[in-house]
Amino acid sequence: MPGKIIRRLKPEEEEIFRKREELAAIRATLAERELELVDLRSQLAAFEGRYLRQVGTLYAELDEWQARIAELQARLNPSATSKVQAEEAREQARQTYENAHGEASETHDFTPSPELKGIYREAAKRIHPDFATDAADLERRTRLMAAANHAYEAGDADALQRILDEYEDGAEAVTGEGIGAELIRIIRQISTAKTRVSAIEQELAALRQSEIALLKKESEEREREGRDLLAELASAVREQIELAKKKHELLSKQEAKPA
Amino acid sequence: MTDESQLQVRPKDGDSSLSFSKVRSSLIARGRRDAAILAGLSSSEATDPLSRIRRLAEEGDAEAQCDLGFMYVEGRGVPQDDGEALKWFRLAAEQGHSEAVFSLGVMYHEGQGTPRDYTEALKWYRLAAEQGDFRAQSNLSSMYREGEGVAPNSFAWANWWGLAMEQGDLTAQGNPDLIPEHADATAQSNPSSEMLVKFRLGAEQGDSFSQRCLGWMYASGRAVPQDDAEAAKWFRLAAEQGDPDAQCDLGEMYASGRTVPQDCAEAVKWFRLAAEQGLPEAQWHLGEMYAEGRGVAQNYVQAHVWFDLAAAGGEPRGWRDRSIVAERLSPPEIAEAERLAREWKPIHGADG
Repeated sequence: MPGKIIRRLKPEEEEIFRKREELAAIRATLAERELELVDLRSQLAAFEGRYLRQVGTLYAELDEWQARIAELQARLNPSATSKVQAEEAREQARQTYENAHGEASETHDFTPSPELKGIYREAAKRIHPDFATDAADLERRTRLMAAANHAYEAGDADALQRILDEYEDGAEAVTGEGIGAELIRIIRQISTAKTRVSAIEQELAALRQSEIALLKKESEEREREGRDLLAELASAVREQIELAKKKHELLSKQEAKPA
Repeated sequence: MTDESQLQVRPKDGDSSLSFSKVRSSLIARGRRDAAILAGLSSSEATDPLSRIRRLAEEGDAEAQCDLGFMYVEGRGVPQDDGEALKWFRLAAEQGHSEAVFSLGVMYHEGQGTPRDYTEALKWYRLAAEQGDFRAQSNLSSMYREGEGVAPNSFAWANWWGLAMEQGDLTAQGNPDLIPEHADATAQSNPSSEMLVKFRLGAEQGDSFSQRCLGWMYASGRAVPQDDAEAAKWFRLAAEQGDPDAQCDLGEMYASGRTVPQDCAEAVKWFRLAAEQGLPEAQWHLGEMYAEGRGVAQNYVQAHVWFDLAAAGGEPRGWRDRSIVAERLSPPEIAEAERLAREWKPIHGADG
């Protein structure tokens, strides 16, 4: 009985296996981080949309009244200072309006299904542009990854699956390069992926320290106490609007009925 | 955001919809600041501003008292009640809250929540006007023109109108709506020198108000070169006629020794004359002289009495200094001081 023939691996082949395993692991980590990033961004965008609709638009209204008050005061009491104050108040009102009524106001609440997350994870692992082998491949991966991000954020699992299939159809041809060249390629891919993971981690940390993330966290803390932070804020701003209206009315009377 | 070149995976337009890329962070930071203020409140107060404002007002917050006053005037969130509005405006005004001081003047002027009372209206308008409130200066000027609660006084009218005009920028074009009917065109282009002519004429004819205003123009260097000796001369003439504001100004000159040789006893004499007529600023000065024993034997009970009266008249320094003096007095002494203040009655002199 002939013994089972076991092919002894050459050292560089062993190295390649180890590196392939390492690459697979880092790809999984990268996909995980990408998912985390997309999720966080989407949640923050959704919360921001709620904040802008419920509170931001009221701030815009308040600043509009403040600007009118400043303009009235500048007319009643013309001076260089009051003119500058009126201009500043008008500019503030314009900016607040623009920020409060921007495109993010249409964002929807974001709760991806486990299935969607699974497909995205797979797509990120395979399509990620960091694993491109040449310029043409990079372009294709970048396009597909952008499409995958859109599909994920839109919660469209079918579209995401189609993108993944499209990628698989045109998957990179097995290159007939030597083992040394492949080793170098894998090592480079690992290094690129590690850089990307650390970049994502930095971005995640920055996002978690952003104003909107902190406000969201505060809102969640308040929710646990059975309170609604955005509703409380909205009511406080409405109150300020009422006071500003009153002040504006008093000044208007002053303008209409001079001494 | 980290290096943009590493983020090519995501389309740029995706980024711009989010505030952490700076666009909206100031609008969100504003919400967080306001939220932090609300965090200190109970749930019911946070959603019901009225209960919050009422609590703050009852705790003595002047801003909240003034807000509550407006709510009662308008019937916003509460039944409309001018009497209540008057009460809250008064509490805020007594703490020196300028919007409340002016509003209280309007309530008395219009007879809202109280019988019409020009004397009270004048008192509060004057206080607000002296704090630089343009509307109060304007309304005060109109009361002098119409002779509401005072003898019609064209000089006083012109003074307040001039102040209202000049506030901020001397060279500013006046608002044509606000120019009194009788003013001529030169007043519009240079209100200060027009006022100077009116005041000098009046002052030389012996009008104490004009004398004081002229003194004040010299003291401040408004429309004339600054001249302390001229200022002292006109203040003294007005003070000798019993004008409390001029007496107070003259007292300040003697107390500081800036333009006349320092003479604290003389300062006390003029402060006392004005204080006895009920001028809160002079009452405060007199209290200070008693507290420090300058020009008069040190007497904390007397200091307390005058600070108390100044505070009741709306002089914010009175509130502050009364509590400092109170720490040095025994309870019976404070009771004595409070009794003296209650029993005090102003001596009516000439009112400009």
